[in-house]
Amino acid sequence: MDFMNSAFLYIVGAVIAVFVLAQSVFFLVRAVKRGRALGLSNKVMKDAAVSSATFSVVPSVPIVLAMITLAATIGAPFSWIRLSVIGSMSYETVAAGAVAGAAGEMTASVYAGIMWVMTIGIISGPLFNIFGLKKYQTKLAEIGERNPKWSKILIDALFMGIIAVMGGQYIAKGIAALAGTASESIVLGGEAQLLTLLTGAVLMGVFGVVIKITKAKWLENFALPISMIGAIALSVVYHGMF
Amino acid sequence: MKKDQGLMLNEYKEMTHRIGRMWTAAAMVLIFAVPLIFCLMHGVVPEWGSFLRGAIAIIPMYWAIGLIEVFNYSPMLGSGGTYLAFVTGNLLNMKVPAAQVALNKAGVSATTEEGEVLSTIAVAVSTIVTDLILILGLLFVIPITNWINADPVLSSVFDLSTGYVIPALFGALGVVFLSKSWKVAIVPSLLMILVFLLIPATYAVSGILIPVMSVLAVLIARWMFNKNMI
Repeated sequence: MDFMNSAFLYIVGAVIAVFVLAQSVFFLVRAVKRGRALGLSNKVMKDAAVSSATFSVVPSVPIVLAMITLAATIGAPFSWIRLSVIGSMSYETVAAGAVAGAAGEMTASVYAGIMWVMTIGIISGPLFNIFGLKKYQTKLAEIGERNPKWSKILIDALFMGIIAVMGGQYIAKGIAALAGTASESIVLGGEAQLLTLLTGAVLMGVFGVVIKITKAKWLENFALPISMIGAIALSVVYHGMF
Repeated sequence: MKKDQGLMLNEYKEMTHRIGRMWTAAAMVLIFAVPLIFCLMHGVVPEWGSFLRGAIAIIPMYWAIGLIEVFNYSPMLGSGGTYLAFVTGNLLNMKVPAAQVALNKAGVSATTEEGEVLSTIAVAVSTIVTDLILILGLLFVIPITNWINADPVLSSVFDLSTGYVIPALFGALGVVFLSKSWKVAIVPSLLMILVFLLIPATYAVSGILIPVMSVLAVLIARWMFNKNMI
């Protein structure tokens, strides 16, 4: 199955990685220039960049691991390509699994089918952006101008939807696992996941209090990644307990 | 690029959309070129049977999710951030939290002019970091695979669905946003815990619940806002 790991695919992957980096740098430079024109201080912009960079390191690890896992099914270069552009570790893993499961023996022709399905499957978001995002953002900006307080609450509430589902899922799973109210296969690992979630929350809370008391602003950038690393490290212990 | 400086707000926004569309279109051409050139090089056509089975399995659902994601996340990302984030992906686990953390720190919202700038910076930097780490990962792909697979504990810690990275992320992130706006958070969070406890089958569809819950959280917040509770 050399066709999955051919030099050609690696070259295409490199071209795409360069494209994504170029686009990011382009938008970054443009945003910084705009920020200066608006009178934003370099410090505020640098803070945003540094906090985003330090935050992004830890969640990148599972993405790399997803790439490694996928490499076994669809080859290293295509899984690299898929996770670099519109990639999402959950989508790619599910999609590759579904398609590979439907495929049977892997020939170049079957592989081509997988590539097409995985490519077509991800385009609805960007397609919408090309045709409809301007309208949508204009509408949002109107709300923001008419009622700035509500606009801020609206965005908070949208984000709370994510937090409630993702956090609530692990809390419920942990409670169900500890109480034994749901079948074991569904809540597998629930106790340790709940403890990991709580550890992350407690560490972050401690950081918040320390930062407030000591006024050590520089700590803010490290609070999230260190809380996550601490929680993940302790998850090894929790995992062994259950 | 020099032209951007001192542009009026509307002109700048207009430019953002034009540039964003161009980059998005270029990205689409590029990703479609991959399977196309593969087919031409190997002189094959896709095996239609497995193509169709795969397509039916994933395309309707992921097209819907992709659209919902734009509606759900673009208010938190701003225009520039949305164009960029939707080309590079990993929204829920990376781009949206990265932008929210940066905006929260500066105390501005993504729909303001300053927020637009800061969220674009956050998404761009986050993308660069992930891309560089992916390249590093690729270099070490074989040794790392062997190391993780050889260690049963490590492989379960980093497992995508039953692992611990996502709970660690949302535990830490949850505290920040719960303490910031707990009144908005409390009802959706309790409701979600209750639903998951009473109907364990919903774990499997938690991804689909996010947009549902976001809309519900907005409705609850609106009600509280109208009653002057927040």
